[in-house]
Parts: sequence; structure tokens; C-alpha cells
Amino acid sequence: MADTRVLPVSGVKYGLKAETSFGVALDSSGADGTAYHTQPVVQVEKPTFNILRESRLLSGRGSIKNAEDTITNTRGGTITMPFDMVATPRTLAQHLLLVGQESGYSSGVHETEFDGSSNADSIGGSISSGMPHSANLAYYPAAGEGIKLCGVVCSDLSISGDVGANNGLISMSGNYFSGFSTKDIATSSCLEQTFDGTWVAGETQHFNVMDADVRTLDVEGNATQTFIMKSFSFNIANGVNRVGFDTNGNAELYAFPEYVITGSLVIKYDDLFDYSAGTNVIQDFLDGDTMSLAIKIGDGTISSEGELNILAEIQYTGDPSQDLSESGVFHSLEFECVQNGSTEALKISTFKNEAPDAF
Amino acid sequence: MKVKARLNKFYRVNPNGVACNKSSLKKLRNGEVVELSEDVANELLNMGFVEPVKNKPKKKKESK
Repeated sequence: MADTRVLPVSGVKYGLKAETSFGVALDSSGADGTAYHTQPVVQVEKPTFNILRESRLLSGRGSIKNAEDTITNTRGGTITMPFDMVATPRTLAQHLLLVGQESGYSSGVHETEFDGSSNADSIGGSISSGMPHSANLAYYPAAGEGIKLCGVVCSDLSISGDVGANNGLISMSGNYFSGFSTKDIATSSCLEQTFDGTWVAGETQHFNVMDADVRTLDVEGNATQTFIMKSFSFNIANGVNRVGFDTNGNAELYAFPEYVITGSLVIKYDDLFDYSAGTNVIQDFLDGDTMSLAIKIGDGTISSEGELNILAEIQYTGDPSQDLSESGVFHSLEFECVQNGSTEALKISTFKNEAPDAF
Repeated sequence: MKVKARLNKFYRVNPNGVACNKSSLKKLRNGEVVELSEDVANELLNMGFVEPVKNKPKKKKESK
């Protein structure tokens, strides 16, 4: 008789916990008692094993492949998993670390810079600086059915806010990446795992784009002009690659060859941002100007949950297009972030009174 | 523990996401000093939404 069990979509959860040693399970003693931090997602998507499978039609087999000729190899592979959630103080700080591989933490303030020198070019080995280079990830539908991923970082992270979506809450999405695809190793990634630790509930504080008291952008010769914003987004990609292999075929290290940050900003056409002399956004594109962009959620002083400062040096990547709506004409500004002298390409500060190694 | 709200931060508190009860939250929003249990006060302190209030030492009357 067929089984009548149903697994509700919301019956699956996943959690993260910062690693203390690259790619090593925090608890490999059978059932995993780690206190994972539950991630506040609506629908969890399953991890995908990207391994080698070569299906061949060998000579002498006739006109159909033979079962014995297929080669499957979990060594040297990767595991990826997408995520999409409303940002909370810990999740935002942690995912910025996992994609930016740079930590500036002091008294509850987490500051992640992208400046061409602070961000790690590679990671591997033990964690010595307190920064969670990587994390254990627990995907958990039910006891004995979980998937544990080790050596998890973010390959890309998008942060976005829109006054007309999600009630203005800042959301984030992206992909996890692991180079520990050999599942038969007791101390690393594995299937059929039970996670029986006391999971930490997801956070309940959020960031709202409509709390952004400071919204400024340079336009031609005029610095820090206040704009009326419809939406913004930043996409950060680190190009992570697994490098080498240990005795089990898992990664020896990850390389981050280039941090690429792009984004978009939709702001109202008005006297401060128009097509006239001195305030012409098209001129900024044609001249190749670099502009400072600031979006500060809160009063600018990062000292409580739900506050977020974003500072970016941007160049438009195309002729500013228009976003037409009943609210009037808006500029749709596509940009990339660039290091500008000593000013960081992108710097994001947020508050969570918890050190990164406790994530 | 006695605490009072940091009013320029406190408006962001998710009332359903903290252990503080509704009447205390309302008083804090109004700028009042509220006595909370250690657990509840520490949660709000860690979030940066309140600050502790220290009792002022009572002045002893000088004996004539």
C-alpha cells in the first residue's frame, strides 16, 4: 500500500551555524546537536549536489547505453542552494560576511567593506580571527532525512528594498556554495542526518526602507543631494571557486578572484535630479562620473537593531532609463560599485549585539 | 531592572517579537521609566532599544 505521509512545504527548515574549522562539521557524533540558527524563509529550497556523472555509450554496446558504463564521482564537486528571505539583523550581518569575507565588528556594530584589499582572496584551514569564513548548513525535513553541508559560503547576495513591495521590508536572496561534496565523510557534508539540537528561532526584527532618513546621491557637481526613492538593490558576487582536494576529494580552499557589485536605484525625477545643467543624471553617465550614494535606515548612528547604513561609490553602467508610473517619471539608475581612492566601493554597517563567531 | 526607551530607536520594535508585555511597551513608547524583569530588559538592551535607569542615591538629611 502506498504511504499517505505528506511533507508540508513549511515543514522543512534550514539553519546556519558558523564553523570553527573550514569544512568540518561542528558535531559529527551521530545526531547533530548543534544549536542551528533558523533562517526566516517562507519556502526552503533543497541543496543541489553538482557532481561528476558521465553516462557513456561505449563501443561494442550496440545502440543503447549499458548500466555498467556510467561513472559517478562525488569528489571534486560542489553543492549549491538558493535562499530568499526578509533580512533580519543577524541574517544580514552573517550573509554579508559569508559573501564579503571581511569582518569589522565592534560593540554590536557589524561593518562589511568591499575595498579591494580587506576582502579575503582565499579561505581555508582553521578560523583564527573570529570571522566566520564559512558555516555548517542544516537542511531538515525530518529526523533521519536531513542534509548537512559544510564549508558553506555565499557565492552571491542581493539586498533590495522597495517601498511598494514587502511592506518596504528589506529582503535578501542569493546562493550558498560548498566545495565539500563528498558525502561519505563522517566529519563533513552528509545525508540522512538527524539534527536534534535546540534550534534558535528566527529573529523578529527587520529593516524597513521607509525608515531611511538619509538618502543622498551626488549629481554632477552637487554632492549629497537628497532623493525620493522608490527602490534600490545591490548584488554582490565573489566568484567563489573551490581549489584543490584533500584525501576525500573535498576542497582544500576557496578562491575569491573578484568581488563584483552591481545595483539599481529608482528615484524621482525632480529639480535635484533631472536633465538640466548641473543636475543632469544623463551627463553623469556620459562623463563617467563616480558618485557617492548613501542610504541610511535609522538616524545614521548604528546602535539598535533594524538600523542599516549603506555607503557606495557608484558609476552608471548605462544611460539612465525611465520608470513611468502614476507617481510620475522616475529615473532607473543601473550602476556598479567601484573603489574611489580611499573610499570603499561599498560599505554596509548594521547592528546585532552578537560577535560573528557566535553566528 | 528599570529602563527607559531610546525614543529615536524604539519605534522600530516589533511588538510581537519581544518578550515585553503590551502595557510596558506602551509606557516605554510614552517615555516612561519601566521596571522589567532581567530577561525582558536584557533582550531590549541587547537590541539597543532601551537604556538602563540608575536609581539616584538618596540624600541623607543632615542632622542638626
